[in-house]
Amino acid sequence: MSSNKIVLTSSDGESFEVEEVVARKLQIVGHMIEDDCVINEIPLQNVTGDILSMVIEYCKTHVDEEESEEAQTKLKTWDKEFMKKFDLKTHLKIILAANYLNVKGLLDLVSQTIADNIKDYTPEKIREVFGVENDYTEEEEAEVRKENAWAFDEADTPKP
Amino acid sequence: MSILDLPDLPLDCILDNLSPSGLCSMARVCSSLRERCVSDHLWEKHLKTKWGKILGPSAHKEWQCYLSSPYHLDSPHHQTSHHGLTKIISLIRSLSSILGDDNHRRRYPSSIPLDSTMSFYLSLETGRFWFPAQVYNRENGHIGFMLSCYDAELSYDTHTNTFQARYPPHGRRAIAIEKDVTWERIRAAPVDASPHHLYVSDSLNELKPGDHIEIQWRRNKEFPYGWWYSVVGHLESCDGNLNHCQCHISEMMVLEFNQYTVGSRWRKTMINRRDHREKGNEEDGFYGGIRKLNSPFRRRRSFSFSALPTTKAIEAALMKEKWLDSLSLTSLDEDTTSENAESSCIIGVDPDLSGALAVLKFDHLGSSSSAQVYDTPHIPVLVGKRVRKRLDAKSIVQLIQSLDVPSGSRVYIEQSNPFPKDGKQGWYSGGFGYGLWIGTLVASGFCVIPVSASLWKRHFQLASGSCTKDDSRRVAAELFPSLSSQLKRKKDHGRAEALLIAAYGEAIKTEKLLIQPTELVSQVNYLENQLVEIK
Repeated sequence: MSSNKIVLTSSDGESFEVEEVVARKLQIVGHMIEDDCVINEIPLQNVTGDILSMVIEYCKTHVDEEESEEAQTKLKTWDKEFMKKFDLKTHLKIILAANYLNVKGLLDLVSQTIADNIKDYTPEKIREVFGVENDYTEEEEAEVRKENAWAFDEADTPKP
Repeated sequence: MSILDLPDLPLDCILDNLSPSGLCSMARVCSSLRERCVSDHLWEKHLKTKWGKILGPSAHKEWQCYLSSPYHLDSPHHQTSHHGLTKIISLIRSLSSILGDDNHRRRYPSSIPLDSTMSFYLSLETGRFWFPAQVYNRENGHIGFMLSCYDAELSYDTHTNTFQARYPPHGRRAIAIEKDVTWERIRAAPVDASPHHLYVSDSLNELKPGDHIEIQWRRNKEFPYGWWYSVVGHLESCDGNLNHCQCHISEMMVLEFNQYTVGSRWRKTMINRRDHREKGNEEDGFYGGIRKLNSPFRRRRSFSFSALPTTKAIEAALMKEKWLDSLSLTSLDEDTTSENAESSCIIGVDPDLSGALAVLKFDHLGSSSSAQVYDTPHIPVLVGKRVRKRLDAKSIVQLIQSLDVPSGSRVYIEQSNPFPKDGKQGWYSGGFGYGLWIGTLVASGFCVIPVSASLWKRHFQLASGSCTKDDSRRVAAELFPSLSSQLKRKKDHGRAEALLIAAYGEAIKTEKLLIQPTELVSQVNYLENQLVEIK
């Protein structure tokens, strides 16, 4: 088993020393290793240290792709708990990082988590939480409301 | 940071995980999200999951008609006659939206594109679109329609999660409307034809006693056909003894409708299979085309009409039969599995790396039985940089040879079915083990029958999510007390599952009938007297 260490450096200069197997979970790093353009330290321009440490925590946990059902269930529980630790703003940052670093599993996990949150929100709440501006005119909004009316039978009251 | 700042891929990933109502909420947030949320690719899977099973080709055709109709009337029947006009109107409409100088319009089209998947989904969900399909036991089990399936137009009610059905008129009888039709009573039409067309029977010459069929029947020639369930029976001259039964080659064929009591005039009819088209009279109604159903090799607790298979299911069943045939290499001469053999064996295999093989031996004369279980032999192999377990082919062959089991015995093996997130090693070793076992067993002269995990687990009530491998061990130890000492450790679950798979095989051996006719008869018995009058 190779215990080659690789140092990943975040945009704000924080460094993380991780085993090569863990670093390879970031496909962007995996490609660099295969292309032989890795010395020992890899600068990751688009990720800050706090986010990078979360991504690394995820990769460390997922480095062993165990086959058994038990291990899978355990991992899933861990995933859920892991996501619970963060708020929506952080979820968005993690999804950006997962996209940039190309960690497929994490990308799926975070998008599922965000989607699960959205499903209970009213459009107003989504705007507020995700910082989206309402660019509809009043008539347009009424129109869109009508065409999607089926989903809002409970008169827009948040579901319990 | 706003969700709109996300690159396309992660944003699409999020939308892809949203439910239909989630997508609708998102569409109301702002125009750019709306544009994404109405995309077909997001809605296709929702359409398929919720509606796929009950939408046949005719429903899709009807939707296309509905789209080209100018007024989207409630009934899909109004538009068929003015196709040309419709086209012109829709052309004008699309032109005006292109030429429209309204800025808002350009940025924001005033409604969801009609031909989009989202629009299809919402039209079904809101019940605006009435789609064609078939309903079992129409008019809520109205005695005149028991065990039949009729064409209808259906509209969904999202509040009650049921459908409203509109049945075409029966001659002078008005359109019948039925509410609260549940999902399991609906199917897509198995053949794509009008209920007024005689279906051309395709399998008349293959039918033999015991086969399940559906036959078209109508009260008189103005009425639409319905599909009626029946079983091929034996001729009166035949005593049903398989050794000299000639019913399958006889020109006349008996169809039994066991849902009616003995002596009822609806209980039986004779069909001439050489030149059967439509047969009957004003008194007994008219019997039309026949289509064969498969009798699924499956355990059923109770009869439910939804279980009746469609044409696709029949094709699938035929394919499965051929597949099963390819999994046994026994020569007919030395077939030792016949029912009157003095003893028989059943083997169960859990093909996982940590699985096992179980042998159950039965002595039919003394009805004694014995069970043994063996761990799957494996050896360590270097894969890449890691040591992994792999099946040991030679030891498996030696194990099988040492079993002293007659060739031709049946082997039930759990069908490998990896979870999407198992990882490539899991997928690989699952398929590898399954394939190695099948190859070895077939080559050793056994009849191999794959069984999906959910099937045998359900049989032992182990299928619910809360059941663990410990439960498998508990059940196995109860069934095979003599082996309980070999099932004590946590890792013995492979042994337990092999034993249970074998026990499952033994249990289904005797259950080949789809339904017990007596069960049905008792259900409708008391209604029988009213039947003639209504029909």
